[in-house]
Amino acid sequence: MIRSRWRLGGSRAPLGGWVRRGWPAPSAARLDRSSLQPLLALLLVASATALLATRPGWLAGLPSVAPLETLATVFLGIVVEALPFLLLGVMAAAAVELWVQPTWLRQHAPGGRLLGPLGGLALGLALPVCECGVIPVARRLLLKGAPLSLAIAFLLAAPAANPISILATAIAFGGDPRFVLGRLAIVWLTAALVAVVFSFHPGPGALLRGGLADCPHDHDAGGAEAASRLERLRRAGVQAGNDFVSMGRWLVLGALLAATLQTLVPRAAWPDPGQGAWTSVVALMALAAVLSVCSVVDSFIALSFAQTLPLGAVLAFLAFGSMVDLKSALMYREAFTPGTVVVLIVLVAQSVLLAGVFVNVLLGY
Amino acid sequence: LRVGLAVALVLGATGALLLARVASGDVAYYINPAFSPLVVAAGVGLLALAVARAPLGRGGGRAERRWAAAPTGPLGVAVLALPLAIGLLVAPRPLGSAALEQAGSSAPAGLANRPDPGRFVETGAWTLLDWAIARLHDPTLRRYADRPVQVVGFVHRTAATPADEFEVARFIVVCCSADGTATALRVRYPDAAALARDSWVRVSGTLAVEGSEAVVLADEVAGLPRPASPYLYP
Repeated sequence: MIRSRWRLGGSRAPLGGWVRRGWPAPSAARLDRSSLQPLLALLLVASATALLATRPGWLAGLPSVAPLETLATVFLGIVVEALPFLLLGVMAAAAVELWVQPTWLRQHAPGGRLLGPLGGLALGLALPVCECGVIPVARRLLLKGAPLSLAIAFLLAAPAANPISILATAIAFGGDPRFVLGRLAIVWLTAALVAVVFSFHPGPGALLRGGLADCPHDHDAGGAEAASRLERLRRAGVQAGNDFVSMGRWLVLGALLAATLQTLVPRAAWPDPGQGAWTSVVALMALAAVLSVCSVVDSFIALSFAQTLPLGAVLAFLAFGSMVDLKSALMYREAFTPGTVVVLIVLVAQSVLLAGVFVNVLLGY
Repeated sequence: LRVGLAVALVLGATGALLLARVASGDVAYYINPAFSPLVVAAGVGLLALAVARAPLGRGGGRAERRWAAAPTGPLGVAVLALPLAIGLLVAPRPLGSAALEQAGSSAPAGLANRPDPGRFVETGAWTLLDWAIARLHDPTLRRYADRPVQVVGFVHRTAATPADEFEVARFIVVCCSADGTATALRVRYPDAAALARDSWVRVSGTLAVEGSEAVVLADEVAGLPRPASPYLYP
């Protein structure tokens, strides 16, 4: 049996653990002389990395490595593109942890089957986070006691329905309302629908990953008010770093999976989208999941299909990719139980598929 | 080595790698250079997170150590270190012949949005991207027959390529290497077989149309160093 500390998803300190126990007293967290050793080690390792990065790869020149270079370039392309957005998300999550009081959230956050999803959609409009960055923010909101329906609607809607993504879609398609409004409509409808479905669950806590489900929601940044400004900043950094590590490992695995599929499966073997009302939608949803490109920029890629494929298929690519792709599907595990993740993905896929086909068949595009 | 310190070291080293790749210009192999400022911000951000985490648990009591516990085990840290390991072990290379053979060459259909360049333009100043757009409007490129060609790209040859031919190719990238699509022109050149695969060249010549296929009759093929920006951005 694999020991829990070796499990990828295992946590030596469950998320709720240190949060529930509160932050240590400022005096316990102060830096002393022994703190300099790890800082020196960090300086040494970072400097050595920067130096080694200027040399050709250690495996360069070995003939058997050549096929790996394409995989490495695609893999690093996805990771390098996603990292800034994941960092933005974990920093926003740290800000929520430090400055949003659970009592305020419980009193003011809209809940219930109607207002919860609407609140999530509205929050998504206010926060420019992509599908990588939205997960730590949603998880932090859940930890703080936000209603599940609000968090799920926010989680699904925000990556496509935030000001930057909307602007990017408008720029990519020259302001064509069919693409801008069509994407918004499918994403909002799907997010609200899935949030409402989950709101019927009798015990929403059972849907969440262990650390979140156990969290009593009676904490805040524990002692943060008493800490110095520098100490609070450091705590925010540790908080963001923990979230980054939790999410980042799934991002890396998802990117590796996507890059492997892209480089090892010949493009000719990919399903041909064709012009079929159903098949084109399914093919582009699969493509969106495999490409795993950020929701902020995927409109520029969808532009490639806009002239040749049915509108419903292009909208399905834009909507599905912002809610589910290989990396975000893995990252959802940090907030929800595996079963919940599967149901969530199936519901999103069904909704987007039906919406895409509706556009193709009933609207005649 | 404590897992918590290992997390800090991986974060810091990954941040340093990102900054080094931006400084060397190799980041252009992975993403559109327009996003470089975001990569710099990510590199600095990762270093900051590493600095915040590195000293944890070294001078505090049990509460401090508990708070500082890493949110993952050694296996999670190893996965997180994969980009770092791959970035250091595998030499940074732009997409080339191997990727072209996997994906095939076809210009993104979205380029058809671009206006038809028409036949009376100065084709000698066109890049492979311009030729890709022209091909979307005129697949045989027949109306450009006898027009001058001067393009830069990498050499692509396979075992089946005739000895006096090669393809001059380049990848078109919107956002990152994951969305790259290749575009290429067939070139006839007597010494084609001597050209190294994936070497960069400037091809000067004239366009000819044979049947339904366009081919560049090269007057000169000059070797070039790999350009700082190896992809074309629509």
